[in-house]
Amino acid sequence: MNKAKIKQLAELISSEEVVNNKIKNYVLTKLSRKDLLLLIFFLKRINANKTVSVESGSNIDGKSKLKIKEMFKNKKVVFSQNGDLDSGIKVTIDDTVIDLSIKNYISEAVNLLKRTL
Amino acid sequence: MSTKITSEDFIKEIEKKLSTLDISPKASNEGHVLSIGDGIAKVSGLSKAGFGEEVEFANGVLGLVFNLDEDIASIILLSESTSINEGMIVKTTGRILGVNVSESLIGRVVNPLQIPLDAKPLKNTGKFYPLEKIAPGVIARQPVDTPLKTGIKAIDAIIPIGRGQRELIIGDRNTGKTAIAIDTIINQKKKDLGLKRVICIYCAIGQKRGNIARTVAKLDEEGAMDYTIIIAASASDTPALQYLAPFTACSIGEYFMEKGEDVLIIFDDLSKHAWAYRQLSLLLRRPAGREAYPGDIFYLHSRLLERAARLSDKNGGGSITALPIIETQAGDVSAYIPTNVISITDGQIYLETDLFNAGTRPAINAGLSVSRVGGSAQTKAMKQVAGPLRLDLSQYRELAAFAQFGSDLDEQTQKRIERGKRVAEVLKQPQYTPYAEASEIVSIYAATTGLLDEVPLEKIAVFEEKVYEYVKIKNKKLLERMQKGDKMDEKTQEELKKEIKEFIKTLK
Repeated sequence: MNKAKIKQLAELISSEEVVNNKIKNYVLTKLSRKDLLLLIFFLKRINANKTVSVESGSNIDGKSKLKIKEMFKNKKVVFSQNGDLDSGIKVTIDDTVIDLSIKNYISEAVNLLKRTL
Repeated sequence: MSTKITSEDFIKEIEKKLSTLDISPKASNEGHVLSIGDGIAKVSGLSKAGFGEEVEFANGVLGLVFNLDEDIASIILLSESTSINEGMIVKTTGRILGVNVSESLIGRVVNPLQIPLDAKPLKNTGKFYPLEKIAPGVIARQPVDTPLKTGIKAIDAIIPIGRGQRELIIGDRNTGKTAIAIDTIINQKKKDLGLKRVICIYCAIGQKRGNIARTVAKLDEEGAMDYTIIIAASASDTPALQYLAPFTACSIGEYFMEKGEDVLIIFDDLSKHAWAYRQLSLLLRRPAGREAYPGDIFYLHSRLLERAARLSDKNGGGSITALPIIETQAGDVSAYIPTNVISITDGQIYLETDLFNAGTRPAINAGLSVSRVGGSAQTKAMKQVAGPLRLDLSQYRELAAFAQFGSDLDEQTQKRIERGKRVAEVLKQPQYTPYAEASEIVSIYAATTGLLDEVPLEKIAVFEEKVYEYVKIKNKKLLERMQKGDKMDEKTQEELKKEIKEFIKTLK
């Protein structure tokens, strides 16, 4: 199976909430290991495209969560906690990352100081 | 007088800087390493990465985006890759690769990423110059008409190089290519003809570190490091660094050129540069062409060498002279890379193994060597004396086959052969002994006007060694007139002839 066809298959699987049994059987029995790896790669990409991941150091209250969800109406927003972040949040949309944590702010400040001093 | 800063002042300085800094959050583009090997990392994500953009791995290693495919970006690593693993995060930096150039680089030995190699600290301050830059346009340039003196008689007389020219040095291994380049750098110390200084940049690509160290030591010994910068990407450096080295040299050269200075860049050598680029391209699975080189191998060298130029006075009047070096295999100048670079440059200096082994050093084949700038890059005086030189040499070469039948030739032919022998002998020169303009003119004038016809061949070297000093003591004003570079009038020629004849008497 060529790359384009595997990509189409991945898009087909992602388009449905529940995976069709026929497709499931086909994927598990007919695809080679190499094709399966490629399919997983495309599925992950499509999933990342549709999902916004919001990491925070502490628990975000319901009101803030709603506000964030409204900003990304067409995407699925997933909230998680990350002990490394201390304060602030980190938003990941596909491969774009907006790091609003204190840790990143300090790191950016240090880099800028190194360049200008 | 040094100013002492207290820790309180330093803290206040930092606070002041922090208050003026713009640290608004920026969206960064990230990806994950899918595979790593042979200095190439394949990364997923990085959808907003541009070609040639600098990226940073999570462990601080820098890379360069070299291939952009639909789902994967291929990144060449700019340093060792042992600490990079699959799944590691890679971020774009939004920057293209470049160097921070300032006068502080002069006298330093650095790698293509400006990391010092001479065990001294280097402040990365200065103006930022990107490694890849478009060459100056036609209107921004002016014709090459100022000589770049190499101090090597054979070159300055027969294949003169001008400031802003690209002259290829081509030959087999161990024929003296690097020796010509080093002698040229050493000669810039003299500031011959009262011309402005030349900043020299020696770019070592894929060479042994021992050779680079020897070159640095020699330049230091001769006092040439006062105006020389060395960019070193040795054989043990990654192909990425070897690929970038000439571009770094060009960028540094452009900084000085745009300030109105004259720059000499030596690329030693572009054959190894082509090999490094071929290695990268094959690892990136780019389609291979002739001799497995990628299809854009010509463009690689043409865009590099086009950056050598002489800018118009309106743009500062600075120049970059490029001396690329190409190593041939078994004297084959019709191979792929040599023919490519020959077609790009404004002439070539062809060195032959046979001549080298026969003792003709520098082993320049005057018949195959050419300078497309020619007489425009010579002073009037040099043009005057060098005119008959080419003719004498070509006649000698034609008649050399008959030299073994010396007794069977007519007097005229024998005279021509003897003259040719003396001319060829005069053009020989020891390494690390560049000649000043006046000294070159004296030697060549003596040979071409027949003044050396009666001097035994074995005494020519002694003649050359001492004639300049003799004339300097006897008639300093004559040499000062000659040093100006103006055409020699009858009176000057007569005076010079007289001094040379008197010196020859002392030899006998």
